[in-house]
Parts: sequence; structure tokens; C-alpha cells
Amino acid sequence: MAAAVVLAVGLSACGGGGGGSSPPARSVALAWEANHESGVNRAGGGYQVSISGQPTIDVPYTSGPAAPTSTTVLLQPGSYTVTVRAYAALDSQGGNAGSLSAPSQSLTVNVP
Amino acid sequence: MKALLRSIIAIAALVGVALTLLNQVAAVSFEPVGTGAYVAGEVLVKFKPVFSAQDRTATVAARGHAVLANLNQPGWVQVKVGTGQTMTQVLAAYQNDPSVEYAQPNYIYHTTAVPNDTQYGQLWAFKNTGQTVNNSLTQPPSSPIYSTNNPGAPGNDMGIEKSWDHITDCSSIVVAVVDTGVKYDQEDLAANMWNGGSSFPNHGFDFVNNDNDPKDPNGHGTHVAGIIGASGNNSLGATGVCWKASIMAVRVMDTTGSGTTANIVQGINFAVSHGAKVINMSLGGGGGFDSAFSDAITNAQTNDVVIVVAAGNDGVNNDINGNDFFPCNFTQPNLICVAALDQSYALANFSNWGATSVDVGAPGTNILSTWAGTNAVISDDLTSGWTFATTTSGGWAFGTVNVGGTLTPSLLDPPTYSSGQYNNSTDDRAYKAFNLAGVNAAVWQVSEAINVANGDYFRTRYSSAGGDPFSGGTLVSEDTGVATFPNIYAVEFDILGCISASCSLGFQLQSDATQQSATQSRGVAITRFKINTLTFSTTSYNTIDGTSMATPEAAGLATMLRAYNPQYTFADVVNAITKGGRATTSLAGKTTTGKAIDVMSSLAYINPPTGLTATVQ
Repeated sequence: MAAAVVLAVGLSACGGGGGGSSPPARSVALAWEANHESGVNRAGGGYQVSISGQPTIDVPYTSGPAAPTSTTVLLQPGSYTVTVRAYAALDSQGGNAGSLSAPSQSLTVNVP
Repeated sequence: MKALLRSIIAIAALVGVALTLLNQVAAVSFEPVGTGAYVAGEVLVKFKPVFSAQDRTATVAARGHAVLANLNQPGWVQVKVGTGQTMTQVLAAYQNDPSVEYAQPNYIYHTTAVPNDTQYGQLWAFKNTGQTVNNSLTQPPSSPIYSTNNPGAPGNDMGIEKSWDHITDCSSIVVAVVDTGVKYDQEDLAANMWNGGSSFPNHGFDFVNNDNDPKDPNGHGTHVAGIIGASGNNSLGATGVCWKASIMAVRVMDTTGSGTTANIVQGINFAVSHGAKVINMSLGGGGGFDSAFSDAITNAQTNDVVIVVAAGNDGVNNDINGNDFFPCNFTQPNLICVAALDQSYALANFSNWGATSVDVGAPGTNILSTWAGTNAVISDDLTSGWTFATTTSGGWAFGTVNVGGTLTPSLLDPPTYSSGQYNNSTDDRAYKAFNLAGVNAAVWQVSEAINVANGDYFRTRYSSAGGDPFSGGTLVSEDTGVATFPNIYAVEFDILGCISASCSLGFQLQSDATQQSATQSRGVAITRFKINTLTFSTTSYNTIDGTSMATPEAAGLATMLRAYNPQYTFADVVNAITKGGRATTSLAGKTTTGKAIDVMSSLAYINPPTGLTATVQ
């Protein structure tokens, strides 16, 4: 439903590795259900994807009816904990400082 | 002068924002979180002073963008950007351009919304300034109001004013008031009633009279409706949580404020099947689990409808076995149960609570809202003007009864009550006529102690034609085999059919020939007699208390949340209200959340994403 955002993440393995040449990074497709908040699905909204040991990935709203609900990352072999948060521009004081959801249930991803 | 002041405030706000943005740009930080709502596809760019308008246009065009306007502020241009780039990318590109000093989104601002409704200053639930709520609009006029914490502590309110900068119109969501009906032509409600089309031209249905005119002869439902959606900013009376609304009136409670499972269930199902997405039920009772009622709430859940209900006004813990209060104690996930807070956010002294049954608190004392008309009380001191008749001897008489240590004028049968016995084979009557001309609703209230044996009868009747109501009048109640002494009970009756210039109300004690024990035939004492009347008006308001008043504060919020987030499910709404609330000391350990509702926090609340999956390719 929403366009995938493909991001290449520079990585250091947190699980696998060792030996001579490093095994190649693998592409991992992450997807989640769309949030129902209007603020998430318009300018200033979107998602943040957290992968253990990696920089947070921003998946912002760009256009259309909803923010993207998927992204693809390159990960070295290893085990990763992944969560997603949704965000919007509106804050709890009525201003534009932004609001962030609690993390989604975490997902463990094992990259062989 | 007021307009000038508003302008000054607006300018000051913009200066503050500009300073903030300056810091953001200096840090070259364009994180989406922390930025505000802005015009999609536009940015504002400030070029360095050496660059001419022609240079600026050329620079913008080189990026495939277009100058929409040169602002009347040195160096600033409004730029239309192309598609395919995020705001972050566009701003970063301009920021890195050596000809550019600043670049920022074209933010969207709103007026700070405070409605001009004439009684807004009394609505402490929306803006608690420490004001004293008065009784200038109470019904009956000048009735006493809740005195504890009036005034209260400023700041204890629903945090709603800021939310009105973002949404005031909830009319896309139908909210049903399942109650005593709604005075749908009240001046502050008429514009905000549900459009029921030709089938429901009066904006709902009346399950008490089984017709399509749910006009409110009580006032309670009208008050609830106004809290949810009295027209805002219309220079009249009050405002609701929503300034514009679509209120469905569903009458399930009678003139006295009582209703049956059968009517309530039909009312819920009507609301659900006719498109309501929020239902307010400021009602409840004990008596054990009600399966039919529960099934109706489950039906609402199945149809994605949120139901907001009252905790009850008995000042007890609903979690204790025997105090169960339904529908509050039902456990369906689409149900929110609301306790009442006073003006200092203490739990109101009448409010029920429950750490497992009551979810949140909301303002519930001294709440001003719309009303169905003008109330008046006709009291009778039970000392004169009554006609007594008997077929034997004695019968009814004036006397006194010790009520709470006070000798209280009463009607007694036998005159020797409570030490004597009424006669066998007697027909004793007492009646009096009252002028009810011009009123639209009347409720007859009586306090009575009754000890009448089986086969003997105590009856109440009325006649709109005056005279003896036991000759051709209408039976109101009939008791036999009852023994309440020494307890006195208050009862009330809808006497709509008696409204006339000569409404005769009466009591009858009729016995058979069987001799009864002294206890069984102690007789009847009438210790209090009142008629509450309502004369319809489209301009009435009232200030009253109750978890009934706290409930629509939350129902209004639920309606606003659904209007603001059209994709919201009932679960999203419940989460936003219960998790977005404000921690409140008086509710800790007394509700499931320990929170009072907070409109702005709920509006900004974001549910955690769900359904995360990963596929290694």
C-alpha cells in the first residue's frame, strides 16, 4: 500500500562474523501495519525504525494518503532487535514539538 | 481594540517561533520529529542580501522549483518545490547553497481558539481559572450548587483550549446520547443534532413512548448533550467539547429518569444500526449482571462503537461485591467508565470509583450546560386544603411523624399512626387539586411509610379533571402486603396525563373484612409531597453535578478523537483516552489508569505500531 523506502545501512556485525572475508550483507525487508493517527500520515509524521546497534532509520511521510509502512535495510549476519515507533508533528501542549509513540513489540531478526 | 490585541498576540507568537527555527537551522537539523505541520511542497528561503530578486529566481529555477512570492521581508522568498523529494532533502539542499542564509518549511498556524459563548467563564472544566461557579442559571432558579472546592485550584481542567486550535468540528462522527431524550430545539443544540432524514425528523427515537420524538421532559439528557456538543463560538450560553457535532437523541429513560433493560438495549442497538460511533450512557444501576445489556454493548463493540458510561453517584467502590454498578462494571474493551472530579480535581464526594472497574476521571461538579426548560417546585406542607373521605370512621388526618428527629407534618391513616391500626372494610381517601396549567412535564414525589396487609391496598391516583381521583382518575401505583415501617421511602411518578389547571392527586387506603395484626395494619404516613414541573424553553441552562456530567466530557473527547483521526477504531480511541490522560493523585488506586482525561494529550497520543514483520531476502 505504501512505497518502500530502501536504505543501505553501514554496519558492523553484532552477531556473526569472524574468519577471513566477511559474509555479504543481506537485504532485510521490514513492514508493519499503518497507524490510524492522521498526524502520522501527513507532513511531519512517519515512523522511526530502531535496529539494535544501528542508527535509527527515519521513514517519513512524503505524499499520498499514508506514510510508508515498510523499509528495506542491508544487515550483516547476526541477530538484531527491531522496533518501530510512529511520530507526528503535534505535541501534547498543542504545539509542534512532535509526539512519538511507544515502541512496537520488538522483533528479533536473525540474518544468516 | 479586541482585534488589535489579537493581532499583537499573533505577532508575538510568530517572533518566538522564528527564534526557535533559527536555532534549528544553525544546527542543520531537519529531523521530522520536532517540526510542525507545514504546507506540503513549499519552503521559505532567505537569500543573502547581495543576491538580487533575479538571482534568487534563477537559483530557485535551477533546482526545478519556482518562486511563488517574494515576501515583504528582505531576502525571503516562498518557493514551490517539485515532487519526489522529502522536506528534509529540500531544506538540506537549500541550506547547503552558499547564496542562502536560511531555509524552513512554510509552517501552518492556527488562531488560539477561545469561544465567545456568554457563559464560557463558568465552564471550569474547559478552563479552570479558579473562578467561582455561581447558581445564576440553575433550575429551579437559584438552587444551591456543589460547595466543596468552589472555587477550585486553577489549572485543573481538561486541557481543551489548545486542542481547539486543531479541531472544533466533530460533526463527521455521530454521537448518541442514550438518556432521557434531548431538547433538540434548544438554542445551543439545534444546529448540532443528528440528521435522521425523513424517518427520524426529530433527530432520534423515543423508546419510552415508542415514537420518533425523543424530546426530553426531564433535562438530564439535554444537559449531557450540551456537554458533548453545545454549539461553540455562537455567542450563546455554553459550548461543548465539540463546537460542531452530530448528536443523536435516543430516549430510553422516562420523565423521572428511570429506564428498563428493554428500552436501553433497544436504544443502544438503534444507535449502532443508525451509524453512531460513540454512545454516551450517563446511567446505571445495581441488581446484578444484566446479560441483555451486556449483549448490546458487545454488539456495539462488534460494530466498532465506543461506549462511555458513568461510574455512579453513590460514593462507593464499584469493585466490592454487592456494589457492582452496571454498565460501568461490564468488561468489554469498547467501554470507558468515568468518575467525577471537583474543581480542585479531588474525587467528588458522590462519585463511585473502582481500581478495576472505573477507568478515568473527568470534571463532574458544577457543570453548566444546556437544559430543557424552566423547572419549578410545587410543595405541599400537608397541613391544609386536603379533602378526606372514609366509608367507616377515622381515615386520613393531618398529623406529625418523627423524621430524622424532626416532627414533620404528614398525612396519616389511621390518625393514631403509628401506634394504631386502620379499620377493616374501609375505603379512606385523601386528595387535593393543584394548578399545573402551562407546564410540559410533571413529576410527583412522595415520601411514605406503608404497612398494609395482604388483601388490603394503598393506592395513588390522579385526575386531570379535579375532584376525587378515585372516581374515574388514573391509577399511578398500588401496594399490598407491604411493611416498611419505620423506614420511609421516596417514590416518584410521571404525571404527564394530569397536567391541567386542576390536577387532583390522591391517596387511598382500602381494606377488606379480615382482621390483621397490628404490625401488618399499622397504616400509611405521607411525610413529604412535591410536584416538580418543567416548562419547555429553548433558552434554558442548568448547573448540576454527577458522574453523569463527567461521562459526556469523555464521550465528547471520544467523538473529537474519531473526527480528528477518521481511521481510528474503538481500541484506538480507548487507548488515546486512557493512556493520554493526566495523572491525578485523587484517582490513583481508584481507577484503572489513575488519570483524568486530558483532551490535548489524547489528541497528540500515538498508538505504538503493530504487526512488525521482517523478511531476510
